[in-house]
Amino acid sequence: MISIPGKYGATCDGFSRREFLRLGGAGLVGLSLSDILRIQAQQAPGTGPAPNQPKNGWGQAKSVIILYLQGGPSHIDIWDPKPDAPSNVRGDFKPIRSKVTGIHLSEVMPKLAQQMDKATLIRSMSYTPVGLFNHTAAIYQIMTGYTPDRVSPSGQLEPPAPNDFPHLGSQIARLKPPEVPMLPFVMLPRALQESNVIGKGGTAGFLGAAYDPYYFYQDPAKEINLADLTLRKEVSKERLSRRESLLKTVNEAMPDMEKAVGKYALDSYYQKAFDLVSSGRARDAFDLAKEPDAIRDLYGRHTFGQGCLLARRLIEAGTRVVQMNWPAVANGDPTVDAWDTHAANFGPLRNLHCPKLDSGLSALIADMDQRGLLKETLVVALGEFGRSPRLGVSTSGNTNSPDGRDHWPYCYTAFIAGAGVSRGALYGKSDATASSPAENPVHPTQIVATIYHALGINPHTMVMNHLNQPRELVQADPVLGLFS
Amino acid sequence: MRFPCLHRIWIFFLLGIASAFAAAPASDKVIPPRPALPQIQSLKLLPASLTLTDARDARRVLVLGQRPDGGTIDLTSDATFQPSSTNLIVGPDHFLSGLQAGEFQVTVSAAGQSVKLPVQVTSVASRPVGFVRDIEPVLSRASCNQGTCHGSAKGKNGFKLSLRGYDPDYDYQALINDLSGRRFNRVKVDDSLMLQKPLGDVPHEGGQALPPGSRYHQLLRQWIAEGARYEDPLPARATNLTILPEVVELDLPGRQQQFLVLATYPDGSTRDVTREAILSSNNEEIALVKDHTLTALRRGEMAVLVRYEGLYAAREVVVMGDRSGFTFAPMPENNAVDRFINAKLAKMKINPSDLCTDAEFIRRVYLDLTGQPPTADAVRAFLSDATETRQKRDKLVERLVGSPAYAAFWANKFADLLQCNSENLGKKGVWVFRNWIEQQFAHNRPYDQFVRELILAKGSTFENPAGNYLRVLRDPDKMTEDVSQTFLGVRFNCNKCHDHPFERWTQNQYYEFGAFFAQVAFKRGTLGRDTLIRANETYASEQVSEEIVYQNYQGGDVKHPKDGRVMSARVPYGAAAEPVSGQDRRVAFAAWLTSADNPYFARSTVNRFWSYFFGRGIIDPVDDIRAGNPPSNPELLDALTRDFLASGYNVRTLLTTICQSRAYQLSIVPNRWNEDDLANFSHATPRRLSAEQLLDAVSLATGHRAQFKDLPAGLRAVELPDGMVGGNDFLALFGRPKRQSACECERSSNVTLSHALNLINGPTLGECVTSPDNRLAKLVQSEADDRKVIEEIYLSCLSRFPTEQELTRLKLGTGDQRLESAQDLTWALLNSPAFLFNR
Repeated sequence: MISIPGKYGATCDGFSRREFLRLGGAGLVGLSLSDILRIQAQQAPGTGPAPNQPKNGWGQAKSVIILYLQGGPSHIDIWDPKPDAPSNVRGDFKPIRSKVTGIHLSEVMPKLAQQMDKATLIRSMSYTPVGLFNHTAAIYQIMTGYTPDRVSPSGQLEPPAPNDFPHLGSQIARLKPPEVPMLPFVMLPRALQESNVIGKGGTAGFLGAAYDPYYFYQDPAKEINLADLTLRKEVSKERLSRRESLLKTVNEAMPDMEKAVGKYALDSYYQKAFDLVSSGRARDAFDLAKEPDAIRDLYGRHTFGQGCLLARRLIEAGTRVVQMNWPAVANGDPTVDAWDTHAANFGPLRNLHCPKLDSGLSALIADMDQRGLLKETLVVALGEFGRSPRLGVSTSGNTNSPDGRDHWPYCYTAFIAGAGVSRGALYGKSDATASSPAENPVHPTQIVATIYHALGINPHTMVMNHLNQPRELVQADPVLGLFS
Repeated sequence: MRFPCLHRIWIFFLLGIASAFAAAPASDKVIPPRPALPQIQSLKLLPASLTLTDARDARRVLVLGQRPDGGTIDLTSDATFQPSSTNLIVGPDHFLSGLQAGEFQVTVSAAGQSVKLPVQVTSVASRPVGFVRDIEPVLSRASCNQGTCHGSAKGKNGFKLSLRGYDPDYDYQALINDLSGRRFNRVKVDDSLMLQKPLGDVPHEGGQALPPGSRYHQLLRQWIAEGARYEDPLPARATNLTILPEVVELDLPGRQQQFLVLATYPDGSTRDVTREAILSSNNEEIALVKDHTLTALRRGEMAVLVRYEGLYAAREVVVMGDRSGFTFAPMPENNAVDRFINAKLAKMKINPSDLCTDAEFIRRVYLDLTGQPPTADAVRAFLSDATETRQKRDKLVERLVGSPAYAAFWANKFADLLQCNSENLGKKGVWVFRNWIEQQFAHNRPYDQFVRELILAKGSTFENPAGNYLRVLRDPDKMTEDVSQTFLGVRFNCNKCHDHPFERWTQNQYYEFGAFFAQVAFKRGTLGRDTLIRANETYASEQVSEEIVYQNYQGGDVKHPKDGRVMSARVPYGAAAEPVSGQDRRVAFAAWLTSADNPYFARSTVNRFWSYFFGRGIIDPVDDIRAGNPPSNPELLDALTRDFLASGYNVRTLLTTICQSRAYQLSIVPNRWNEDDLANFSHATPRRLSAEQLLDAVSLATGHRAQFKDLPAGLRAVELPDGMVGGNDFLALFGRPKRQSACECERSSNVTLSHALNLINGPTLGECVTSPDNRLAKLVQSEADDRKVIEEIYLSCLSRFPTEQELTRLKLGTGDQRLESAQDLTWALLNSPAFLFNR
């Protein structure tokens, strides 16, 4: 029998990176990244024809907020209570009525229950993992729409690589750049991460680094350092623009140098950086002190709550895509509010996780709706999978405490609202134990397709990869039944 | 930070899918059409003759057509095989087997040519089917023991096999004894569950794994009929793999190449295992591999990885592509480095770039050897020196190697690798350790002695700072993993939990390695305590004091996790002296580790140093040396290794050789024939300055040095002792590692929007440029000639004179404007790629 030695917290991989399939690098690959960027620039970054299907929800969203509940929240204990299931399934929490007749949430989500008249719950999320059954592979799938094709011998994914599929936000940033000088795609407050694989699925991949999200890795509940976005006192706007043209002059005299670093896409970064600093738009958006205390309290004075508030401010300022990653990394430590509740489920959910999720998400929905932003913003909250309906069993090979729940991709729930999504509705249904969908199963890649669709981007649009091969944005169809 | 058990399952899942993935992406790759056959002069068979030794012995040959230009084209799939007798059978894929002993001949024809293949059948006796020799490879080939199936941690449906068959004894017991032996029906063989399941006669979650009537079906059936025997495993396990052909160079994309895999057994006999071996491509952008056939997709180099029953081998493949019009123009050879690089470039039909300019060279070599660019005066002096270029450059290299700035820079580099951080070592610990490392470089300590002292350290970590290395690593597992990765360039992380899936390292070896360190113990010393510094302030009250590293002869054994047996200290390859009872086990280990006979120690070191000068190792990544990760230029690596050994592990000699080579001094400007080359060192590649280089270069260019909190003024960034604290946000943003891992990948060197924002508008650069006490203020005041001011700024920032065109276009204005303009110009140059990159 194989068993793992060592103490709690030991790891069997350490930093195993860039392994196996990647050796030798790309060798003599013909196209440089700059070539690709150039090719892409030449192709009209069109959005392709609209689908032939009924146009439910097509193009109704201007922007999207992804609240990414990384770790895999327990659907039964939050969104899809099963009071009639056996005790080793239904767990400790009781259902409560929501504002919508017939929709019940778990008792740990009282505030959100009052906002359910504005959103849809998809209780039939489901997929069977292709290959790796871990967080990173699942994250990569929901973020890019594709399953990873490179894994290291340690069983982990490779770290982010230039030939990864792009995050959907990067695709959107390229196909639908913001209408005003603003960060097109912001990810906060920390990287996607499992163990030592950091950032996989959270990059622009083969689109080139220029379409990477703006990584805002600071805690919005604490004081935010915005030095980079605030003009220095000795540098006036005019002086900055003089400097900008001087830099251009200086660089034009060194064309070989520019060419040799083409793959770093410096020009594009610098262009964005100048626009941002001189407009001041981003700095203002990040400045949560501009919000009344009452609003800040409503969202909750914690990283997730303030992150939700920041997401709203960024959207208002013109950002297309904001992804708020759940602040705690999955690590099985029951004292941390990570959704990966192998080691203990109910206590942490009741006391740590759910109060934050409840206040942040409910405040965001109510606030956005009141401001009229919800009409044109798609808000999606989901994790990479749900958790095993039966308590204390191992489904992924992990050890679980008697009240822990293991990974469960076969049935879970996603929360979706705004941009024409039905208000106060359920989509799909789980079976008696929330183990598998009873009707209308939805694959996570369909959520990706739905986001594109809502933004008026045909999910089957072809995009050229780093080898100039056409790749569909996602090989899935949008869930049109979500839209009213 | 992590949930321990998550790792286990991934490993098993991975193994299952690796081969599935090898095929999956193929579907969306555009396979170029097969190019027309060139003229074929003659045929060559590999091997040229065959000997078949029993009834089941089936072998084949590869048919290669000779091109007029000396190359070959694989014609195996096109060839026809005409045997001289019906007692010689030509099966699918041209596998030959005998029905009767005797001498035979096969006429092999292709592309209008033919050739004779002599085949000797020595016996057609039926050989008993053995579990280890015959059945395990079938279970592997049919994917039964993959991580997604019965090889997963918990098996499948109550039936568990060892992952990819690394433990045949376990597998045999599982097959025979589980279910009280009900997998076999020795009376009615065909009713055996062991046959019904894979054939799909009874429901099997894995579907039909073996087609009825197939060779594998017959083999399994025969094995059961013969009594499901387990033979002596040692002679039955292959010890070596041979892949044919030995040289694979395909002329054009679309061309195919078949492979032949031979296993050698301890008695010297061989066996054709082409059908059972698992072949895969290490780069599916260059070529795809399916079963035993490779299809070239585009110009480039890749390797075919072959796996068979715990053995691993790789065959490098070149896809040349259309190079018509190419004439080789080698670079002048300054030393042996250039000779080996020229040879490889000629082979790949690549022409090297031109020599870089003197101004480019001085900046490059200063940054690479000392971590900071030259001062304006140093550039002036070098450029005005009329000595012949090569001589002048050689002299400069000799002057920089061994300089104080050199020692500080390399100390910083090795403090990364040796994980010098205050979270583990405290404030005083990081200072003494870093200073000790610096001394090693300042005195050019032979590298083997340096490493031995780290491994053998004893006593107070304050008084004998080398002990801080083991102190950071702390336990035998981390010592095993980090010592192997740092000093051998191999990764032992995988074989902690099971045998390495893609390498020869076994789980036993992991714990045998650790046993050398099992008695290393630590106790608190009495010298000065200081505050343990952690990112998380909750721990700020903990104290770090001196620790004593000692050998605990009573304690410390490493036990195998599988069965708890105490592992004796043993090296994973080669031989170490038997550890003497009562002697520190590390003594034998350190001698083995740093021995000239250790094929990894010097070689991985040389490779690692090389990568710091070219942005890429000859083997890359440098800390992942494996059969499946071959060097791009093995002759070059061998030669550098030999020199390093001959010099007595002299790091200065090594770095001098590298920097004096022509290859190091090539321009970043590519030509038509090398613009797509990334692996053969035919041109220089711009490398973003490291965080410390960048900050030091900004300080040097502006004459204003950023002050680090609580540290002496005037400190260079590379002189900071710690990876965790004591730096500033700028260093963290630009990727200074925290020094918590042995992996080179902990340091990042990308450019993102955050970097651009920080550079154009951040406080670090902003303050250096506009500080009233910087050099610019003085310069503008004392120098009335604008051209001189501009010249000085270019020399300080870019280590070169401005061109006449630049001088004409740039104007400073008058009065207060002059200073502002000078600042803006400095700012612009510091933001240009010519500054941000080592080029």
